[in-house]
Amino acid sequence: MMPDLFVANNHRKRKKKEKKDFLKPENNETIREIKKRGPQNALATFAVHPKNIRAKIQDRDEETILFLRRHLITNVGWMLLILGLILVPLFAFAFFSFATIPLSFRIMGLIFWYLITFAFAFERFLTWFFNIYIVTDERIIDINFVNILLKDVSEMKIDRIQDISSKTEGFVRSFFRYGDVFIQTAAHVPEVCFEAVPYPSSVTAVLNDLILQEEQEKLEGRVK
Amino acid sequence: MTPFEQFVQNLAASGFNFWFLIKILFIIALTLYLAFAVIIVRQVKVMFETLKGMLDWPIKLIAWVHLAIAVFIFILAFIIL
Repeated sequence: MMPDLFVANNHRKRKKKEKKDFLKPENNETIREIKKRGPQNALATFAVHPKNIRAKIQDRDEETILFLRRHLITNVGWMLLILGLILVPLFAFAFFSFATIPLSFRIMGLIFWYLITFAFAFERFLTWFFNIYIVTDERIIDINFVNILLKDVSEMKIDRIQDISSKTEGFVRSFFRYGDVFIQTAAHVPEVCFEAVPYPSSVTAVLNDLILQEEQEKLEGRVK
Repeated sequence: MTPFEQFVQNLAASGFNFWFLIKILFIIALTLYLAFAVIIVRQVKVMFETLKGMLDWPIKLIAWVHLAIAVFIFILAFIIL
């Protein structure tokens, strides 16, 4: 089939709408299935067509299809550590005498301990909260909040994706159904990894649908 | 008496103001903490500019309250130590 040399604007808009419609739950079985899983709010780890959640770099007519972050269970490690840090002063005061330390220093030490504990917890929460993967109908956006001083945002067009694979290994990951999704690309970022996201096979399925749509667009000569 | 307590008593007996040194260390640590709290407020603001439509105000509020507490404790350290 010959690609179109010229595509009228209204035709392009109509095709774009068709693409959006294809990705709506009522028309797409994969999306319909995964929409039923869990809450779809701002604290969700897996949201389909989340309302109002958008990255700044998204175009106005670019729709968010998937919104992902690390599975909640990945937070258990640091939460247990926080619990331990909260309990340390209680045990310390129960088992040791701090009589030689002036009261004001004891109080200040205690306050400082809990301040550090809170800071650690808040930093870990923010790292989880802002480590986000967004799949739109045009591209993949990977927002990394590595720590309080380092963040990076990378994006790639759907049509640059070459290969997608997912991996779920280990008892915990299999039980809670989360894993990694690896996306090989022809872009300047050779590989993007969605780490520890829920339902990796569903994510792969949605991405495959998007690639198919993109390929069809290419054949019809209406790539954006 | 624990070795630490003995160490503290020996220092006090020699005329060295051990607690003044600890106070300085506290002030330095709380100054660093204050900087950290400011960075958190700043980073949260930047992240919500990058991402829209997520629990903006509760997290911004926590970051600002955290900064206010850090300032309060910094002042408290000057007063009570």
